[in-house]
Order: sequence, then C-alpha cells, then structure tokens
Amino acid sequence: MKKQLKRQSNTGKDRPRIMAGYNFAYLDEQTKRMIRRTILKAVAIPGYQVPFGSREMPLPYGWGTGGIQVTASLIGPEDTLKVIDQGADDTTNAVSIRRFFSRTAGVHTTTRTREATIIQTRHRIPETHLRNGQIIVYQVPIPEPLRFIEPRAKEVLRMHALKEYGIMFVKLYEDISRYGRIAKAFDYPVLVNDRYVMSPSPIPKFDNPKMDCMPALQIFGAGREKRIYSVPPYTKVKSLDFEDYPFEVERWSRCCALCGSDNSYLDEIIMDDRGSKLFVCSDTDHCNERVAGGYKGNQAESIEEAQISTGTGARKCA
Amino acid sequence: MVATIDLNQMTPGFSDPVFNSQETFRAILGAMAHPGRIVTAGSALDSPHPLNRASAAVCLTLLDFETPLWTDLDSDHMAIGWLRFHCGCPVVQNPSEATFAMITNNDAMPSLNKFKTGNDECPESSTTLIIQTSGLSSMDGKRLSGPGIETFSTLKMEGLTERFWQDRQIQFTMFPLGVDILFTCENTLAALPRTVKVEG
Amino acid sequence: MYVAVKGGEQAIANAHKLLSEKRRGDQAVPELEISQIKEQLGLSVDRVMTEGSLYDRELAAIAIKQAQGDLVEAIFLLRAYRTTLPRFGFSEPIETSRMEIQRRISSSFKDIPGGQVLGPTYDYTHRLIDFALEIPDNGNSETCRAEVAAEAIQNAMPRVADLLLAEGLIEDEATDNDRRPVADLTRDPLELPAERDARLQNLARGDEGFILSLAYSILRGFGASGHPFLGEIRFGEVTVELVPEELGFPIEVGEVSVTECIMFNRFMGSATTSPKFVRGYGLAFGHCERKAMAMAIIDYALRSRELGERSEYPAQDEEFVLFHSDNIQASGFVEHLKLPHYVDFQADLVLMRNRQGEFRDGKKEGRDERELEDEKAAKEAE
Repeated sequence: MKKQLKRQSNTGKDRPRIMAGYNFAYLDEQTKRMIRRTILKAVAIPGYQVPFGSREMPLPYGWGTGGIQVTASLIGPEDTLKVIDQGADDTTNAVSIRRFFSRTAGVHTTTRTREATIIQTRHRIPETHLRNGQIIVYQVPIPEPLRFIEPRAKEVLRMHALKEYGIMFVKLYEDISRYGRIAKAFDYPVLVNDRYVMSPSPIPKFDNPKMDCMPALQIFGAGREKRIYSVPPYTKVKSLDFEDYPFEVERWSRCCALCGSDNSYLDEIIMDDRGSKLFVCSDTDHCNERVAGGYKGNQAESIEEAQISTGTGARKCA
Repeated sequence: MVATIDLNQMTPGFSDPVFNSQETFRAILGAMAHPGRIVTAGSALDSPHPLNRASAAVCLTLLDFETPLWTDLDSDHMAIGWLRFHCGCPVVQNPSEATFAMITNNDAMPSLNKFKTGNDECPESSTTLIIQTSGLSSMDGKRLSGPGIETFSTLKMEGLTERFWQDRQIQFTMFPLGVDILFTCENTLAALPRTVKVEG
Repeated sequence: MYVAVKGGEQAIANAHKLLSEKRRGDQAVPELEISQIKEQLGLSVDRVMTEGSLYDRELAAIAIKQAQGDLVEAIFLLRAYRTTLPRFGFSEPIETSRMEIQRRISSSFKDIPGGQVLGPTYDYTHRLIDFALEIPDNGNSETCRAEVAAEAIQNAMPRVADLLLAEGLIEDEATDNDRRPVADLTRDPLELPAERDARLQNLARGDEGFILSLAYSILRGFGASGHPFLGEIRFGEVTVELVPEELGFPIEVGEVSVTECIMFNRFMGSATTSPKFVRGYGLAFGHCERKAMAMAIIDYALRSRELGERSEYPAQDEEFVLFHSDNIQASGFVEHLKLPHYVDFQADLVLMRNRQGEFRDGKKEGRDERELEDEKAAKEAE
C-alpha cells in the first residue's frame, strides 16, 4: 500500500532517458538519502571527514567511487556535468565516468568549465575560476591527511578531536631540516576554517591556493575509505607552512606550447628518445578556450590530433 | 500507532519522489552552504497541518527508517501519521535520541542542549533541527558570518525566543559540536549550521 | 611534432570489443555453457558466492564466464550487482546442527556420534595430473560414479563443540538474547574496535589468499597461542527461514549449502575466568574448506583483546586484518595506479629537479669526507 501510494504518480513527463532496470543516477533512493544527509553534515563541519555507508559501485574502488556516489546524490535533470582527470576531459577514466552518468542519469555533459553546474575531478582544480553556485566534487583515495604519519584510525581520530596536529608539523619540519623544503608536491595538507587539517586530495600543491575562499562548494568523496568531507564557499583554506618557510607553488620557466599561457599548470610531454620535451596546459578546456581566443604558443602549428591506440588499429603519427 | 493512520485523509507526498527529493535536496544544500540564503522548497506540496510546505519537503527528502525524529506534536497528531507513512521514520520521545527534530511551537521548544550535539570524535552525530517560523526574510535581522558567507548576510526569523538565541550563542562556542538548524516558513527555508556566528 | 591524444570514448569501446573477442577465444572451440561452469567448476562458483556475499550459483557462474575465470573480477561483478538488490527482510540464523551432511570430520576425536563422514574431498588424493580427464567421456566412465553407502547418514549430527559444552570444557556461546541488530558492513562503515559479528562478516567476505596466509602466519609462530585443534568441519545443506512481519512465525524460503568450521583453542584462564577451550568460527557458502578453516583461525586470533591475551602479531591486529582483507578494495586501489597520474608525477618531477640542483650545488661548495672516501674507493675498485 505504502509503495503504491508513493509510486502511483512516479511517471513524470520530463524524466531523462536512462538505462533500463536502474534508478536515476544508479543509486537507490535510500542510499541517496543517506549520502545527502552525510553531505549536509560535511558542509556543517568544514574539513571534518564524515563516515558514510559507502556502497559497492560497478567501478573499482580507487577509480572514483566516492566522487561518483557524491555526484549521483547531487545530480538532477537540470544539471550539466563536467568530468576531468588530470585536468583533461578526454583522459580514459574521465571519459568512463562521464559515460556512466550519461547512461544512468541521462544528464547533459560538457567539457566547458563555465557551463558546468557540477564538476567531478581527479587530481586537478580547473584554471578557470569557479563561480558561486557551481559544485566541485573531488575523488579522494586517502582522505586522512595524517595516515602516512600515523596509520591507526583510532589515534588520528583523537588527534582531530583534540586539534592536536603536532605530529604533522614535526613531519613537515623534518622535511625542511633534511631537504631544505617540505617534500610534498601534491596532496599537500591544508587547515580548513582554522579547525581541521584536511587532505585536498592528490591535487598538485599548485592548486591549493584556489581552494581558499573559493566561491564554489567543494565536496570530497572517498568511496573505499567511506568518508565524505566538504569546504563550503568562501571558507578559509590554508596550506600548512612555517613563518620562515612559507608555502609556495610550482613554477615553470616555460609557457604552454599550445596557448602560450604562463600561469597554468603544465604537463611535460616527452617527444622522442633524445629527451625533447614539450610543455602544455594540463587543463585542456582552459587551453582550448585560450587557443579559440587567439592566444598562441610557440608550437601551435605543429600539433595534430590522434586517437588513443587500442591495439586494433595503427596509431596515427606525424 | 501505525494503525491509526487514516489513509483517506492522507495527503500525498512528492508527485515524483526521485526528482522532487533531488530538487529539494539541492535547495537544502544551497541553504546550508550559504547560511542565511533563503531558498524555496515544497511549493507544490499539500502538507499536513501544522507542517508548512518547506518542512514537509525537507522530511520527505531526508528522513527514513534510519533517522529517529523528535517532534513537539502529540503522538496521535495527523501530521505524525503523515511523516510515519511517507518517511517511515521512527518517532522518539527523547530529543537526545533524535537525528532530526521538528519544532512547530517555538515558545515551548526544549533548550538546544537537550538535543544531540555530537562528541569530539563524531561531531556529525548531532540533531538537525527543522524550526518552523512565522516569518523569514533577509531584509534585516540577525547578522550572520562564517563559512559559506562571503562577508556577512542578514536573516530575520520571526517568533524565536530570546532564550533560543542565548542557547545558540553557547553552542557556537562549542564548535565543532552543536546542532544544525533549518528554519522554514511556508515554502521557504534558510539554514543556520553550527559554524555560523550570529550577531544582533 | 606533438600528437594530442583524443577520442578516449571510442578507444574504450574498442578495447572492450577486443576483450569480448579475447574472452570467447577460438571460435572453433564450443562456447562454455553456464551449466557447465555451475556443475564442473563448482568450487570456483562457491568461492565467488562466498566473497561476493551473494548466494546465487547461476549469477556466480555467469560472472566467472564474463571474467574469463578471473575469480576476483567475478566476485567484483557479483558484489556490484548485489548492491542494487532490494532487501525483503532478514533471515533467521541458520541451524547448522540440522545440516543435511555431505561431509563432516573432526580431528579432535577418533570417533564422534554420527561418525566421520569423508564425503567429497581432495584430501588423500595423490596430486597426479589425471590424463584421463583430457578427453571428455560424457559420463560413461565408471570411475566418476561413487557407490552408495549401505547405511544412510544420520539426519541430525550433534556438533562436536556441543558435546564438550555438556562437560563445561568449552565456552558457552548460546545466542545472546539482546537481539541488537547484527552488523552489516555493506551498509555501515567498519568501526573500531569491531564486534565479533562485524569481524566474522569481514572475514567471510575477505580474500581467501589473504586470510589463508594470515592463518598460516599464526600456525608458523607469528601467533601467541600456538596449535588450534580442528573441532569439526562440516559441509552440507541447511534451510533458510524468514519470519514475515504479517505472519510472526518462521517460514522456509530456501536451502543453501555451507561449510562450517569450528576450531578449538586453549584458554588457560585469567583471574576472573575459568580455563576452558574457546572457539574460532568459520563459515562459507558452498564447499570452501580452506577458507572456512583459515577464517576460524583468524577469528580466534582477533579475539585476543576480548580474552585478555596479548596481541602482538599481525594476524591479531584487528585494524590491519580487517582493513586489508577485502580483495575488491585491495585490487581496486592497487590497480588504480594504472590510471593517469601524470599531474602528480609532474609535481614530483619539479620537486626532484629542484632538489637535485641543490644537491649538485651543495657538492660543489664542499663535499663531506665520507662522500670523497666513497668516490676514492669506487675509483680504486675500477
């Protein structure tokens, strides 16, 4: 009876077309409710990792199951989804996750950062400034910033509870005394809202400053580790450092070979076996947008597109 | 108690549970991520008296058999029957056992510290309060600041007692412990998570 | 010239087509039928059902076929399907003392009421490849038919542990009546310290290889209490009962075959508790003896805290064992290293180049004596 009454009008006219036999966005409604409640608590306690009943997904753990569960609980027919991996929309895992949502939720997808309402990402924050109203969902492998200093869950729980982050600063200081710098290039720990030390996920530390007072809502999903956490818009996010060793980001002496950008994160491409290299933007949308706007790098003419080889056909090469 | 539910008088829940709850959740999330921002929810609902449409929509979206609810309504009230029927949530007598609380009469509301405020290791295990107000506007009122707010925002919630604001002030100093609050009025709602500093 | 890689979607689709082709293999060879897998690769089916946490021989067999016999991949398929299934209710605990026995042995006693029933077993087979199996004989051969015993196996066989219980020599594990909800790791995250129900569920779902090796480490010396005794291992069919809300009494909903293992371990007593034998418990779907035994050994090892014993070895470390036992989590995370990581590697490259630069500069300014000595020694060696 209960089900019938609820279900009788469950056939809206504008429902998107989705894969038969599965609920909208794959997850069942009870699971979505549980994840939604978790997300709200995560927003209410910035930087704190909220445990949740992460489900087994049809994609492997470590391949974005946390981000996928968060996105699946957020997404609706009005949304436009962008999925990136390493900053690029066309990396294999980004393609695979985007396809998962087109199949299970039938939503619009885009590669344009500006057009997206939800951006699911692995390892990068787009170069284009995110605006208020957008949501960025990070895929997180190890949500616990203290894990590699203290692997015991019970111990680190106490440290977070007491805001006792001494071991983290000791570790960072050891780096400085041994190597002259903090030896963390990505997944560089941050302090959120002056309370919780948080893992920003394995983004390069180059991206850390973008998190500070970001107008967009940031949500982090760790499926295998069963944690969700968040940074609300306009929230203070500080990369850990010392007065005499302030936090600094990577710099390149070169510009993007395609669009000439001198302030974006660059990928290094090895061109041949003699060590020739090329530097191009990791954020493909940002780069394309600049190229479309007339910006040019020093090798813009010598670029050609190719298909990823699957072994069935020959790779197109110049 | 479940047997007293009169199906003939029962108003329906969401017309499309999947999409209506998704839409409502995004409204709640928008409110929670931007404390003080007023959003709309449940506009098309026929909510059972005395629940307003926004409160009813929040319940349909977030409550189920895993979320014990405390409310100030009498246990045989029709609105409780409606909540039990559509959400399947257990109704508890003690506010300290509740994951959600529905407050319809602000004058008689229990002190905030009677609800779950979480503990140091699990600050998330705290009650989310849904407080019905007689008016909600952002024209003037309290000055809010904190995460989710660029500089400050203003929110006026009608009909809350001075004692409530004193309680809230005490809880604010307990961060990360504390309750999170959704204020509702007709088909609108605004959020006051524990992080937010309230002045004025 | 730089070649920008595009067209990932098509590449993935092509890769999956190639996989289907590979799975099918030589088209001249008849395609495997699901019934063949179910009947002739039954132990694979049993393992996939156990670690996949879903009792469905048909689905497990399809998963094995789909995964080209990669059992971890098949377990993953079954798990992912399982999450989408609605829950109708919770069954009553199965009663293994009423099992329809196919095999049952105890190594703690020479003879036991109901007898030692060898049943189908690889024990005492000589591991010589049977070349007769190379050519199918379509069941004509007499060698694959066993004779029927003159006497039927008893219907109810008392569990060996219950016999010791009557004498007060073993801990009483009578079901507690508090009826608190049984842990379910597929719905809630694992919390530490974990109760025994959560631990047993974790071990049952855990990777056979991992659990087995940990059990081996206990027996080999990385475990405090030494040698456990196999109280009993039994394999057979049990009925599953459910109490529907509206009826209020149990009804039979089906039958499953399970392997149950109980290990006896010495507990020498403490200031407050009398000395006695305590149990390690293992249970698996189908016929999975190795798994059930290993599970029973680890179950006991993880009881060290509750028994007030020292916990100093890896297999007794609850957090270490429970957080690393799941092969779906483990393989997902290990294999995620195949995903592109070039952004992070770039960050490390920048860091490493800076660090190397500093290292070289430092050397020019003044190398320490040990470095100079090392260099001298290296030259002399040449």
